Amino acid sequence: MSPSPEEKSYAVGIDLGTTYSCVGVYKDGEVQIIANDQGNRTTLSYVAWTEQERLLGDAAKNQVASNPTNTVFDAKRLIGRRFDDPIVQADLKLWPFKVVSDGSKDDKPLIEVFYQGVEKRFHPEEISSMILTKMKQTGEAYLGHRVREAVITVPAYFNDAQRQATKDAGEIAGLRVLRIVNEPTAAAIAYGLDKSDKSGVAEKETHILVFDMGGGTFDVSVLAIQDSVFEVKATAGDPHLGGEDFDNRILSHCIADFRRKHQSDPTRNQRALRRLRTQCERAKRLLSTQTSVTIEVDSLHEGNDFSIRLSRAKFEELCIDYFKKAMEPVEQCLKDSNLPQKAITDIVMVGGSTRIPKVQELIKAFFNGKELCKSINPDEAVAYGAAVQAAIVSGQGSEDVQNMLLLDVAPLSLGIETAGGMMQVLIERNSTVPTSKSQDFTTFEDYQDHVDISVYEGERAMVKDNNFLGKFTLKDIPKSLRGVPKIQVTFTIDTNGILQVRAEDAKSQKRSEIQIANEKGRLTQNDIQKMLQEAEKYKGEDEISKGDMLAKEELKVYMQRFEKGIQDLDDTKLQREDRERLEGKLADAYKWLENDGLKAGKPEFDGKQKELQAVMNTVMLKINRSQTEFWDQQVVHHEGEKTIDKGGFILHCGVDIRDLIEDPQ
Amino acid sequence: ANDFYAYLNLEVNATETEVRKHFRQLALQWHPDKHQEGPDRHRATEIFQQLNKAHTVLSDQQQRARYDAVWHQRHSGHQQVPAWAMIRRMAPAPGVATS
Repeated sequence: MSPSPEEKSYAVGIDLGTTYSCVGVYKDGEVQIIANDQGNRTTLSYVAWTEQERLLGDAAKNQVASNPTNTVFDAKRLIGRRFDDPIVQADLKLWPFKVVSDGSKDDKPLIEVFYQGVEKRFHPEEISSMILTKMKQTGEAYLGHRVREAVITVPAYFNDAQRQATKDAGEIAGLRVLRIVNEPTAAAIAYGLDKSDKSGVAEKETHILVFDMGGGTFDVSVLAIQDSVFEVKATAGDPHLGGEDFDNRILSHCIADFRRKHQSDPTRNQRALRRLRTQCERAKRLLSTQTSVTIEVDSLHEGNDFSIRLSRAKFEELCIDYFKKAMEPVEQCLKDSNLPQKAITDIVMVGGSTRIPKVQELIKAFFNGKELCKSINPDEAVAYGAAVQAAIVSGQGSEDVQNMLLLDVAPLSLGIETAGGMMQVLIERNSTVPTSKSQDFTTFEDYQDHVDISVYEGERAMVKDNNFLGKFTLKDIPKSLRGVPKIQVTFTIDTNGILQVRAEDAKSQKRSEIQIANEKGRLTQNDIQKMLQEAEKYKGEDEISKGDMLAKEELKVYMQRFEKGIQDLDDTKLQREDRERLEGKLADAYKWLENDGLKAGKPEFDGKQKELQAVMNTVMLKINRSQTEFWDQQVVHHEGEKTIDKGGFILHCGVDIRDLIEDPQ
Repeated sequence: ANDFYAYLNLEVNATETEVRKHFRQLALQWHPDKHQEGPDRHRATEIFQQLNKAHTVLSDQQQRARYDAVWHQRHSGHQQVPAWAMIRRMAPAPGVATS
């Protein structure tokens, strides 16, 4: 895989964190976590510009108090987002550095700093690429060889735009990004290897839950591990919850206290805020091992010293809503994995924030007092797993590693818009990737020559509540009567979680396709969050409206089939009185649909359809056609058939047999 | 086509454990990660997607029950296991029966 055989090059694994980053490499049959030039095994995700130079990592943070506006961190909170994203707008107020919009249609955020007296603007991808460069150099210094390839980790809940932006950052740093891997999945590999080292290869299937709470993001994943196969069963999370949120709470508490004591407001004094924040973060760490701590800053603002005593209980009180919120994805993930709570053999804690005693206490209580697994290093596990994955993908590892396999999932459902603005899901959330799914469509009107298909992601029943990904038009469909053309639409997700949509007309073989990842200005994490929360909240409501509309559409489609069925039967088979009876019933049904149908619900629509079916079946029996045979035809045609909003309807749902097959009763 | 049991090299009465086991063993053979970039990986991806579909249906009790009805009509008696669904002996688990 390396460009020339004599020049040896390594593939590394990089955990690109919100506050800290970590790099590891698989070498001589084991993973090495590599220390930086300061001797630290994790490097601060900081970049700073001084009068003279650009500083990276620990060196950047060391001078933050004297140069707050030109010291940039938290790029991960900006990457792949729009400037007008409410999350970006909220974070903006807490950052000492300046963030502006690029003014384009995509409304991308730019970070503004002064370097050598000149104003410079950077994309978040560029800041991340600088940190990645630092990690790359750290690897090269240790290995004595070039590092050209890397596996980079992202929170499992990152969307395509954020994944793509992270990949871009890697490319800007001169790395070939072999794979974007989900952080909890990487941590699970570290756990799995640790276990198999101790107890031999586990023959038995085990299920683990990875609880990954870092500086800025929070993920939960449930995995099944058997032999050397790691299969992700479900994943959930909060893309904006972590240690920095807790720091902010302490900071606000201190500012309020300072105001009360000194009647002056330090919030506009960036240097004061930065100094105070550093002490708040320190206090938070100390409170994981001791029960109270003093936060002290001399001459914080307008010559006033600041000092406050903070107990662990007070800290917990300040952040308890965050801690409790973290339990929701745990519950969700367990539910999605279809596993009972007792099936979880180990709870693996990853990320610095899992050191907080209250967080451990809550998750322990959730699992009825089960002991947590703390055998792996919470700061290094993700980079460790990424290094193993780098070896697997680049084919560098030993036989043990080559026999390992990682089966990851897509975090959100993907689908298209159908009649009434409903979401027709093609690929369900937590589907193993790579995957592909096809569905056949046809035209809605006679001589229609194109079909529009809108692609969405999200969990809600109506597309307006989900995130629009892109629109898709298949043109030049050979003209024919409605329902005749056969258009196959295929959704494909690759191993990096990137979606591609393709449509092909069976007759003309005309094709058109879009790659969703290339579409700019995608969903914000805030949206995903909102969508999932709302999906839960509105589940009941959705079920009702979705059920009603589906039933109505199904009735309509059945009636069209019914009509065609009558036409197809010639007079030798169908007696005149029967024909009249069927036609009469159909006319009644159409009339009913126009009047009562407007305010009817699912039971009424279903009832009407049953009524028609009963009549049809009686007649069919009479003319001595086997009922089952007739049903076979009906099943192939009408089940799962749904109209698309802007022309066309679905013929049948590919291999999703739940839509293909229905009991013949 | 779409004989999910044949894709996973299983008997129709295979247990849940067998379904999982065969899927994982075949996934080890056909996951795109295990194949060089180019036509080799392309073919592996296609096969893996078939395995993935079969596993999704057969590992869900409800979906499997419905699929079984179809299977008995369409595939019963003339099951043909594709060549790629032959399970190679895996290094880490040498004693595994390959049916």
